[in-house]
Amino acid sequence: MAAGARWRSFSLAGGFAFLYVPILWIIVYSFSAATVVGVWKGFSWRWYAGLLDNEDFRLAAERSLLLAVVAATLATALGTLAGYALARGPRVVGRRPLAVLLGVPLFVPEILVGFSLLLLFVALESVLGVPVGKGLVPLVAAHATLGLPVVASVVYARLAGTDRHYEEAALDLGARPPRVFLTVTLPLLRPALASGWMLAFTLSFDDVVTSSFLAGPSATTLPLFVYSSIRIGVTPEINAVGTLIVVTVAACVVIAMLRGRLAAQARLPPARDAGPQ
Amino acid sequence: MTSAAAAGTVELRGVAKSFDGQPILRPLDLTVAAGEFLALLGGSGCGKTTLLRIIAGLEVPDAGGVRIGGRDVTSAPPYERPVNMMFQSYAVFPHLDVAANIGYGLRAAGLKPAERLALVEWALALVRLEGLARRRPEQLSGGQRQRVALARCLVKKPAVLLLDEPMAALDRNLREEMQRELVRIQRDVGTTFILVTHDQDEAMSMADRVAVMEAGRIVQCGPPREVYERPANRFVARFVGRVNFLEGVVRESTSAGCRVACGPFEVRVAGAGAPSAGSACTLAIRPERVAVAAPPGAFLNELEGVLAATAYFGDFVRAEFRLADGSRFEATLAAGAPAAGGPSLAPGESVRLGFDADAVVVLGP
Ligand SMILES: Nc1ncnc2c1ncn2[C@@H]1O[C@H](COP(=O)(O)OP(=O)(O)OP(=O)(O)O)[C@@H](O)[C@H]1O
Ligand SMILES: [Mg+2]
Repeated sequence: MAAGARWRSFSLAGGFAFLYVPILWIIVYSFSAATVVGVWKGFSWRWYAGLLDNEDFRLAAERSLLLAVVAATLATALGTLAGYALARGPRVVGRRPLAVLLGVPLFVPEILVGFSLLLLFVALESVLGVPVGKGLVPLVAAHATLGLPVVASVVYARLAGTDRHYEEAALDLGARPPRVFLTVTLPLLRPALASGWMLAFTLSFDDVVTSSFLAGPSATTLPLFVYSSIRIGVTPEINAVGTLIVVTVAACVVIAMLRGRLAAQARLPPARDAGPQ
Repeated sequence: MTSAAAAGTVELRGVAKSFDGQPILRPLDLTVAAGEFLALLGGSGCGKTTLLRIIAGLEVPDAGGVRIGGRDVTSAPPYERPVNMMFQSYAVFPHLDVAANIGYGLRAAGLKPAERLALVEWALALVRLEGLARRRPEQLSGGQRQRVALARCLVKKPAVLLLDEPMAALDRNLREEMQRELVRIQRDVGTTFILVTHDQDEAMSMADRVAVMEAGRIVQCGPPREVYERPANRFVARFVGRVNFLEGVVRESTSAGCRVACGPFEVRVAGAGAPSAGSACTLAIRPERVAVAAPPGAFLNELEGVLAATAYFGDFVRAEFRLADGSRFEATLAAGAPAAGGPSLAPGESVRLGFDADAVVVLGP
C-alpha cells in the first residue's frame, strides 16, 4: 500500500520533471551573469537588457506579435463561422464527416501544411503576378489555417452545449437571422471566442515549421530568430528569449483555460424543461 | 370586422409532425377565432409544445397547413409571423438585463429608444417587476424570470400569443393576479391567446374554449363547461376534474335516457343518445354531484358505499367510499356542512350515496 503510494508519487514527480526541468533550466540560467551557457555566476538582468539593444530580436518579436494577433483574429472569425455552421446549420447528411474534416488539419504533419502552402503561394505568385510567395501575408494565411480548426471546435462545443431556445426566442421576437447571430449567438459565444483566440495566438506565436517554409528572409519571426541564433551558437541571450516566449505562451494558455472553465460555468438560467421542445 | 381583429385567427389543417419516425402530432385540425382564448390541456409529452412551435414557425409540419389571419404561413419563418411565443424554458437571454430582454423584440422591430422605454415600463409594471429593470437574469428567481419571459412577448402586442405554461412557477396570489391581467389584455387588445397549462383551474377559469390533447390528437375541444360536463371519453373525464367511473351494461334505452346495470346497482341516465340495450358502457359521475347520506328516495340513483377515508381541503372535504364490488367512489362535501341527514361520518360506516339521472354521462365502452 505505502510502497504503491510512494511509487505513484515518484512516477508523477518523474513525469513532471521530464516535462518541466528543461524549461526551468532555461529560465534559471537566463538570469545567470555568466557568459557561458549553463554556468551560474550570480543573478543578473544583463541578458534581458542586452535584448533591448538587439535590433534583430526587437524586429522579430514585433513581427511575431503582430503576426499572432492578426492570424488569431482571422482564425477566430473564420473558425467561428465554421463552428456555427456545423452546430446550427441545416441538418445535412454528412455534417458529422464535415466536422471531422474540419479537425483534420490538427493532425496533419505541420511540415506538410507548410510545404503545401508554400507551393500554393508560389503558384499564386505566378498567377497574380504579385510577390506573395513569401513574407508576412502568406504567414498570416498559414497561421490562421493552424488556428482555425481549434477555434471551430471550441465554438462548436460551446454551441452544441447551449440551448437553441435563446436563438429561437430571438427569431420569434422578430429578429432576422443575421441580427440573431450578432445579438444572441455571438454574446453567448464570447467566452469560447476568447479562449479560441488565445489558443490560436499561441499556435501562431511559437510556430517554427510552417513559418520556416513561408517566412523568407524578410519576415523572420521570433521562433525563427531563436532557431537561427542557435545554429550560430548558443548564447545566454537565447535563454532570455526562450523565457520570454515561455511566459507569453503560458499566459495565453492559462487565460484560455480559465476562460474555457468560466465558459463552462457561465451561469445560464437553468432550463426548467430539459427535454426538446 | 376590422383587419386587426381578423389578424388573430389561427387555422391548422391536417397538421402532422413526427420526430425520428415517431409520430408526435397526428393529422390535427384546430381553428381559433381572433381574440379567442384557447387553453391546451394534456399529459406530459403529448405534443402541446410541438403544436405551439408549429404555430410560431419554429417547426415545419410534415403535412398540413397553418394559416394565421387568413394568410398561409406554413413555411414562413418565425420573424414574419404576427405571433409571439413564451417558452416553457423561458429562454430569457442570459447576457441581457431585464429591460433589454423585454425590449429585444421592440428593438428588432426598429422602435426608437423613447418608445421602447415607455413600452418596457408598461410591461414591467404589468408583470410586477418594476425596479428590477437593470437586474441580470442570473440574479432573478425562477418566477421572476418567468415574468420577464411573459413581459417580453406581451410587450410586442402580437395578434397571437402562444404561452407555454406561463405561470407554472408563480405562487398562487401572483398567479391569479397575472391570470386576471392576461384576461384583461386579451379583452383590451383583442389578442388571440393559446395557453398551455397543467393547471385545470387556470384553463377552466380563463379560457373561452379548452382543447384536451392525448398522444398527438385533440380529443375534445369546447367551452370549459361542455368539456367538464360532457367529456368525450374516459381520458378527458379524468383529465379535467375528478370523476367516478362505473362499468355497466345497458338494460333499456329510450329517447329520454337509459338504464344501466352496474353490478348490484341499476343506474338511470337522462338524456338522448344513449347506446342501445345490451352494449357495455362506462358511466362518469362527478364527485360534487353525489350526495352523501342521502335520505331514501331523494335521488333517482342510489348506491351503498363504505367510507374509506376523508381528506380535508379547506373549502371542501373529499370523501372516498368503497362500493360492494370493491371499486372506489368519491364525493365532495362542502366543509363545515355536516353530511345531510346525520352527524359527521366515521370511516367504516356504510352510507347511502345519491345522484340524479342528469349527473351521469355515458362514455364509450
Ligand atoms: N426536436 C425533437 N426531437 C425529437 N423528439 C422530440 C423533439 N421535440 C419533441 N419531441 C418529442 O415529442 C413529444 C412531444 O413533445 P412536446 O414538447 O410537444 O410535449 P409537451 O406536450 O409539451 O409535454 P410537456 O407537458 O412535458 O411540456 C415528446 O415525446 C418529445 O420527446
Ligand atoms: Mg411542453
